[in-house]
Amino acid sequence: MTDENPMLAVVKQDLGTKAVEVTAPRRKRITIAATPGTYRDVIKYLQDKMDCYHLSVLQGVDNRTSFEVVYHFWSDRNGMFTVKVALPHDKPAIGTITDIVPAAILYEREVHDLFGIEFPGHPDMRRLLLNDEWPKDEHPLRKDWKMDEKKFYGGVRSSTGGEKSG
Amino acid sequence: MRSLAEMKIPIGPQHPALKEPVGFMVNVEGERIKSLDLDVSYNHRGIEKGVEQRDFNQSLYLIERICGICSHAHATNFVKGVEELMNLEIPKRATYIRLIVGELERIHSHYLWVGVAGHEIGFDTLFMYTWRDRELVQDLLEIISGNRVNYAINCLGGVRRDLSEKTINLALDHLKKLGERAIYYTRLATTEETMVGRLAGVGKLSHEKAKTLGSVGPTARGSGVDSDVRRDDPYLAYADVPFKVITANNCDVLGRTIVRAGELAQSIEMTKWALENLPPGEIKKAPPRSAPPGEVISRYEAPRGELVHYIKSNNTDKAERFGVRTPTMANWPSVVEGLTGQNIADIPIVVAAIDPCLSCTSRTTFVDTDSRKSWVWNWDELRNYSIRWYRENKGIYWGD
Repeated sequence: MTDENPMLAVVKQDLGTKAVEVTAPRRKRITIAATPGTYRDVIKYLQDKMDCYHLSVLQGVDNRTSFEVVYHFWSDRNGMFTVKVALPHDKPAIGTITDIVPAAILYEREVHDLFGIEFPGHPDMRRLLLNDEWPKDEHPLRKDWKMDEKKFYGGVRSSTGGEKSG
Repeated sequence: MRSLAEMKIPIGPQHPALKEPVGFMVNVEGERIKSLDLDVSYNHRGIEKGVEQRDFNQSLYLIERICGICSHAHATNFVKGVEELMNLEIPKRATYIRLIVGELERIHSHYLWVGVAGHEIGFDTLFMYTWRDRELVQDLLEIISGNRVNYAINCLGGVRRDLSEKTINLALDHLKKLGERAIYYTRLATTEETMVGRLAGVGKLSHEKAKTLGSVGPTARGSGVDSDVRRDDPYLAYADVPFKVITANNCDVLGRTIVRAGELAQSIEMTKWALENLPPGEIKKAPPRSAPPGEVISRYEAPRGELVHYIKSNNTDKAERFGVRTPTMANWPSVVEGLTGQNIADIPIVVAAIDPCLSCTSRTTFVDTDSRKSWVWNWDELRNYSIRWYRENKGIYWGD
């Protein structure tokens, strides 16, 4: 591509083995693949050296065989840094970053809610987006999730569950 | 002296003044707010899941409806993200038309906010003035796109409708009037004594807290955080258009008001500039059906602040993952921070100050845990209480 990101080489060198892979899709965008062992160091590096004061969002992705937690950090000077951490599909968990990035407090709850990814150490891991009546182990943004109406709201909406229209 | 009992006040989840429901649980000691907890679970519609099951064109209609007030922000952010994935460069004229609609949307949203803020503090004349002026913008949007809300001006590869010479002249005429009004509102927000009395020092959010809590948009800029996606990460035609990023160092609701009033004037100038310098040519390009595998973080400066869409494609005509982070979500922690230590009377204006895209905090139950006495307030009663409290304690009143 013509608009090379000048920060790519710098980040690559500074992170060394802490990053699995560093790529730059375009100007002002850098993607860093990290591991559950190194992602905190990478985030601290971004905060201290790259001036990333703003966590835009952190999101979950279901890749069918694994989960990914994706952190998007913004720096006015250096652009957007995306840190990706792959997690096993079976019992995914990653330590909270709310101690170093207070802004993550609601986003971690959202990902926990919709993907069922655990964030050990989070001070207040309650439900955020789904309602109180929602069954505990239903995580709708998982790719293998199917709506089973019998499990919801006492089954009143299922075709066999009693509610009739009209 | 008997110490004051600590009370828990649930506010919401219905809130007729604004959109989308949210519930607050406020812990108070007498008049002071000790802590605050919020519940935003009342309006989850599963749009992210819905987008995974629809193709890009169908998704656009769904995404347009994430929000009624900043529908263009969501739709534009999504199409520009998908176009980036498809490596599709759209005609320049289309980027200008998207920008024009986007700035008109910001103007109507900020006029709406100034009105709502005026209403919450008992200054209903201001509400009526701004909402009358807002009609000019709404009319313009209707002439340009055919709709007053959910303009649906975007399509993949460009825009759906062109601007005629006649529309441009009419728009310039309307914008001249709006510009004069914006100057008046800026003066009002910064110098009108009663307004400053109600807004200054309320909902404190320090510069450092605004940064660490991840505040965005006018909420952050009202605390001196000099950040604006339009300037820092330019998209559409924002790199061409001259404008200033407005900040204020007041770090309170007054600061947020000054920023919004200033942005009104800026947006009006930007729209004028874009209309006068509209490049000729095509307005759309045929897009490919599918997007190659990849991912994109699309950012947009919505009226309420930075809006982020995360789109992952998988070589089909559907998105593999579509994630949304709305500016209101990013600003909730700042409401908690701004209300801690404040008076009950400040709840309406501090909540309104982030311009939440939420609705309906309609029923407020006040429970005195000591005497097991409870009473119910709805938002209007809370607002009336707030106005009365300021009249009796600070002498601020606009008359009946």
